[in-house]
Amino acid sequence: MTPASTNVFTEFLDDYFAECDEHLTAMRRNLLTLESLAQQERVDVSLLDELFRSLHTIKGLSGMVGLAEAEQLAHLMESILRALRRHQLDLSDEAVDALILGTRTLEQVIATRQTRQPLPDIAPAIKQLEAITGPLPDLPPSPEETPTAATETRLPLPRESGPPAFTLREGERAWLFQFTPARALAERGISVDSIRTRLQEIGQIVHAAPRIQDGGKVTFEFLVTTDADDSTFTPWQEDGLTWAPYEPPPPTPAATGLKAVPTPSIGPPNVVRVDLTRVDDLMQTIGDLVISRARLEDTLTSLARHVPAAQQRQLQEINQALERQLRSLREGVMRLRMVPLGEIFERMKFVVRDLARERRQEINLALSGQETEIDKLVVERMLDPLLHLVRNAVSHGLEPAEERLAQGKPAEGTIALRAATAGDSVIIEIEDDGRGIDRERVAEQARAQGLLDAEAPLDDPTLLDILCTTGFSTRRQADRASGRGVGLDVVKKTVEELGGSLALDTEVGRGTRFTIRLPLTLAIVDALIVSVGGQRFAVPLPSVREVIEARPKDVTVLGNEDEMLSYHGDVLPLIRLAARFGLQEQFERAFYVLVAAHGAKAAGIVVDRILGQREIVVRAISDPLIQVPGIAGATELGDGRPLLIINPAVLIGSRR
Amino acid sequence: MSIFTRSRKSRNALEQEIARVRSETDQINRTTDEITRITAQITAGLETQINAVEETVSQANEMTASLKETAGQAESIAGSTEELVSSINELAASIEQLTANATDLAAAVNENAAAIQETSASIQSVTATAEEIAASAEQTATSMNEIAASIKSVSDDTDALNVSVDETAASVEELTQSVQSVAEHADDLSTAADQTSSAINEMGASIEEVTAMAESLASAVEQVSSSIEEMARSVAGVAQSAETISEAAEGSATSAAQLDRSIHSVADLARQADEVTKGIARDAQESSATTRQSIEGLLRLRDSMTRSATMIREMGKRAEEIGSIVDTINLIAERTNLLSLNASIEAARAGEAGRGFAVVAEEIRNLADRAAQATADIAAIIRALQEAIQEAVASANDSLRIADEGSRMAEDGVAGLDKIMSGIEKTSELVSHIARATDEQLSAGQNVVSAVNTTARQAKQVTVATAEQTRAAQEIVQSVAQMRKISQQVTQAMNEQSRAARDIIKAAQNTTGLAAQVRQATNEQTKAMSQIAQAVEAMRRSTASTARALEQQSTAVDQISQETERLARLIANVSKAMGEQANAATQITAATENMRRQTDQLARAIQEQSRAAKEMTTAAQNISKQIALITRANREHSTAAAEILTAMSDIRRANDRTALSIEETQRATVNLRERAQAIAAALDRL
Amino acid sequence: MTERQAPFILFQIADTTYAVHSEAVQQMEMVEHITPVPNAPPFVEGVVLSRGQVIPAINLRTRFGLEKKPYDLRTRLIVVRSGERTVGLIVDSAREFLAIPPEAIQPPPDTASGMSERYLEGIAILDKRLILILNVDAVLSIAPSEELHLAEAIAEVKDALLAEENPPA
Repeated sequence: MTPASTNVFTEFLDDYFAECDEHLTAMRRNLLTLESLAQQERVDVSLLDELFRSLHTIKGLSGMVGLAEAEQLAHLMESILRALRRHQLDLSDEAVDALILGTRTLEQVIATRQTRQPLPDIAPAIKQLEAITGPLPDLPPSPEETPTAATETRLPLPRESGPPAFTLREGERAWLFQFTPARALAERGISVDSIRTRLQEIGQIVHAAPRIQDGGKVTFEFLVTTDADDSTFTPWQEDGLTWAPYEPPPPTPAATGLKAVPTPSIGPPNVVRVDLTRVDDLMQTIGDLVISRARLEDTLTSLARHVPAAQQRQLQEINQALERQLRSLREGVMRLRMVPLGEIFERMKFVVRDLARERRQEINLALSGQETEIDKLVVERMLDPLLHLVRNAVSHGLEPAEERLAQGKPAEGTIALRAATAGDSVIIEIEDDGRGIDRERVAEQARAQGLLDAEAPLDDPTLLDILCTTGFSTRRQADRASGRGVGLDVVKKTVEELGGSLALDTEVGRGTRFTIRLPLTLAIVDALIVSVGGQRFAVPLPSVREVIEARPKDVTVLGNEDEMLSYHGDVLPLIRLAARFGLQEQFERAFYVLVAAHGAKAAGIVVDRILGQREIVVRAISDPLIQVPGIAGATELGDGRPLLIINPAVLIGSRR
Repeated sequence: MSIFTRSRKSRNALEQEIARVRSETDQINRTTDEITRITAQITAGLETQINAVEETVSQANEMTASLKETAGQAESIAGSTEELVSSINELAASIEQLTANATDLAAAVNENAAAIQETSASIQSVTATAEEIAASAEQTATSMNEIAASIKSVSDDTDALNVSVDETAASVEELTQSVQSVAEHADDLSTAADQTSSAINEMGASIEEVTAMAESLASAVEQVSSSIEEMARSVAGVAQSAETISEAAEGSATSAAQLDRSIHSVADLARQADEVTKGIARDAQESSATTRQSIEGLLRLRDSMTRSATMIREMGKRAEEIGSIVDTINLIAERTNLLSLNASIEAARAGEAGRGFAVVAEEIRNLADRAAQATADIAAIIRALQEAIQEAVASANDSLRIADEGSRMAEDGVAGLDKIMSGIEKTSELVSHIARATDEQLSAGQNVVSAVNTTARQAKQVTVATAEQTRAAQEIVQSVAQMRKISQQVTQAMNEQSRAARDIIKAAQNTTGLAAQVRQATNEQTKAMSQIAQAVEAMRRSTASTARALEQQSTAVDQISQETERLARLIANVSKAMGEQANAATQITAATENMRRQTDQLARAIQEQSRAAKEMTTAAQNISKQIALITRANREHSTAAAEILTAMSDIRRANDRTALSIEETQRATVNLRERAQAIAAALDRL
Repeated sequence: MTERQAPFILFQIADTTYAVHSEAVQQMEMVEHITPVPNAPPFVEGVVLSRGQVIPAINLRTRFGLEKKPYDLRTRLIVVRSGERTVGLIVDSAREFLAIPPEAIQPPPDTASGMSERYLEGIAILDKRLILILNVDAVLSIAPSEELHLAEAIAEVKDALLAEENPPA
């Protein structure tokens, strides 16, 4: 294979994975809906259709990339769906289970293909699926079932929009046909499709759309341009077809009233898929631009004395305009990277469902804030930690049903997964109404492992620190739910690497709540540039509540050498950055305190000077050698000198 | 009742009715006829009336026309009357002007006459005066002649006076000349004495005493020389003292010569000392110059050392610069090496495709290494150079310091030398001064000698001159017979002077003061003499001018007489002419009177004329006024006539209308009658 | 075709020449703008920006238990990759790119401490030059707390080689 073709193929593969991902997401959602409909007589056909289309597409694409396993799985699942549609099969729990297992296996197959890892064993899934499809003849798909629509739905017309513009040729007229299918007609072989065929014979179908009538009947509208006169289709009246000459409606003004709530679109939105790396490249360029602009501003400031005031003002205005434009560009590109958390939450549903079945326990997963958007990279990095926390909530948090009932709780355990935007941060909460964390046991264990002083109290942050210590576990053996994948230490590490923070609230008998606070985006953020001990640091502005100037005499030193500052009638513990970082403070008379909070805990971070405020481009620190608590990354102000970015929450959260 | 009956009955009634109608118709007919007749009468009357009206109208028209004509004529009359009035006015104005002119003329004539009369009177008075003048002129002429005669006699007297003054003046002049020559000699003497005196003063003679004495002598001489007689006496004294001077001068000449000799010997010694000193100064100067040269050499050496040190330092700086350039080259070489390494890494990564590139990178690296080596060599050289330069700078600094010290010491030496030099120079100068002073002494001595000699010589000359003076004085005494008193006084004064001079000689051991006194005295004498001469001269001049004046006076008197005579003659002529003129004036006066009278008459006549014209104007204006009145009346008439005409035509129109209505009446009447007749006829047919 | 001559980057630390595989080297830089990272291991001089990436800069002298030496014109930062990591190594100088024939490479000699075997891939003697081929992965994977007494190890290696060349009489 030549390199060129390799590249084309690689690109194609990328597309393949992306598209499969979309379809799998849709399938997961639809399968869960389907599951809720199990045992019922009537099954929403459109649901089945959509599932079918997704599978059909995956099957076709998998064939093209030579992923036979996926093709095979998709084919089997397609058969089940076809049988369901034809009412040859009841929607049993088994069928749904088989479909869910099939989907999960399909997902794994595609994922392992992407990561070039050995493919999972698809045999169990095949077996379960075949157990359903077994008695069915493996019929070749009938033409009308060939979901050509699967490709058409790629760019469907929004329902609300009218028929498209069309042009009439010489002697042509436009007719609007309406057809309401009926059993009687169907018996005569007159279906939507046959009508469609007829209409196609006499002219061109410009537009076709179903209309739901009162009473749930569906009428199909066809807009046809034809040179045939109405005598041609007069006989069709008997076939339930009505028609009328069609006049295009005058173009309606754009604002016919705000659409209160957009009808949730079932088909994929009008989108262009972009490789994330390209967005990253774009973001990188914007980052460079931000730095260049900052340098320009510095230069302008130093030029100020040599340039006449008028020009200076003009330059300043241009600079400010540039800043605004850059900011909006940055936000635009940032939005490109933003994806709703809902996607990740959907996966949690799957996980919870599996766990619930496994543990034979009723679990209600309450979701909120799915629409909350967050950087794609953050989502990806957070997937495993979230999975871990949810699994933890199920396996460690929720008590068995009988225990719950004994405690007067409902048998059904609830796990709440909430997301919300707060300023430039996103807050994700994972809460269970289970037993809570037994502090005493943890403390005992921690003391035994030398992680906690014998006398030290165990407050929430300390508890979290201990729980997050690598290798710390209170369970004798890891069960499936909690022992797999990542541990709490990884959760905390990941959150902090992303510049976020993790907090814990727990109460015995009432439940546990993990709160994750993450920055909206990783790429660019407004930051204060401060100096401590002659070294410059950047502190992301969203994490700073207030900046106050203080003098040494304002500081109260407590017995244990903790320092406090009177703040809004309260006391504010101080964290001396210089002391933490082994630097020597270099302030004259007054120093500055950055007030920041970590959960409910606020503290002041002492720095020597505030040098200014800048937009900084965040660069991650990935090497373990330089991963230091309290440092979230590095940036550069245009002079090639790296600047460390401080994560105040981590500084506050971690003990000395 | 049958029809018939009924018919009959009605027939009767009808007939009755008809009969009544008929009678009424008849009545109408009659009435109509009556009307017709009356109408005819009215019509006739009307016609007559119309005719009369017509007539009246035509007459009125005629009257109107004639009135209009009259009015036109009246208007034209009024116009011409107005013209007439204006021309009369003009005439009156011109007459008035004329009258004014005539009046002016009369006045002028009157004035003329008065002036002529005055002229005449004044002419007469002039004539009288002229006659008087003539008489007085004659008297003047006579007296003038007398004056001329008297002036001539005075002139003759003055001439005689003049001659004697001239003689006196000549004698005085002579005396003056002699005195002046004495004075000249005395001057010479004095000069010589002055010289002597000043020279001897230096040697310490006691001149002051002499001076004091001379002053007292001077006052005496002053007194002496105030008169010529005193002078004469003094001249003899002078002569004697001159001799004494001569003797004294001889003596002083001898002693002066002695002094001169001693001064010479001093001068020789001084000259010798001077020469020796100068020799020393020359030597010192030479050594100083040599020292100076050596110092200069030292300084030049130091300068050049400084320069070379600067140059060396500059070189050091350059070397440092080269060093920094070498550093830069080094950096570039290192970077090139780095780049080539990176290029090699990339090339290696590219595999076969990067092979060529790797070779190039290798070459570049080699070049960079060579460059680095070369720069390292250069750096080493530069370092060595810098060290050498450092040493050079150090040694240059040392030698510079030594040179500085040497030159400072040399400068000290020069300063010492300079002090010696200045000492020698001062010594030499002092010696020179001494030599010069002795020289001056020498020449002064010589001057003294020569001055003394001169004094002696002059003394002799004074003696001779004095003798001459004495002689001249004798001559003066003799020649001025009329000025005996003065001569005696001079002689006395001269004697006193002589005595005083002797006193001077006696009092003064040397001659200086005396000579001065003499000179002063003679000067004063001379001055006095010249004053005398001036006085005499003045006298002579005044006498001469008196004579000249007298002559002129005489001439003037002659001229006056002549003029007076001519004046008398002229005055006579004038008188005669004046008589004639007076005559003529009288005639003119008469004529003027005549003229005045006539003018008066003329003026009067014109005034009358003017008055007439005014009256005429008034009359014309009256006419005009009246004509205007007529015109107005006429217009009123005309208007009235027009009104009449209008009334008439109204009447006519009324008549016409009446006639018309009458005609209509007639027509109606005719109609009526016809109807009546028709009725009648109808009745008839019934 | 015989086994290809593997290209190496040669560098010096304390007058000893080392080699790293050229393919492990991302690029080389002069040492500029190192930002110290608080609380990092002592041999981590700090972070540097290399092609937009924030990487640690390790002072190999310090890492090898040698005295620090001030940076000069020849001091180099060799940016190496080891698995997913990218790390900068500060060395005294690195000026050569050399292909070493495989036959010139021999395994590291056995030494008393056994340390050389751990982080030396082999040694090569080229034109009488001793070149120690460093195993970058091994050096980087050693826990930061563990001290590398390289200087001693080098002495051992040299002694061993000397012993080979001049076998005891």
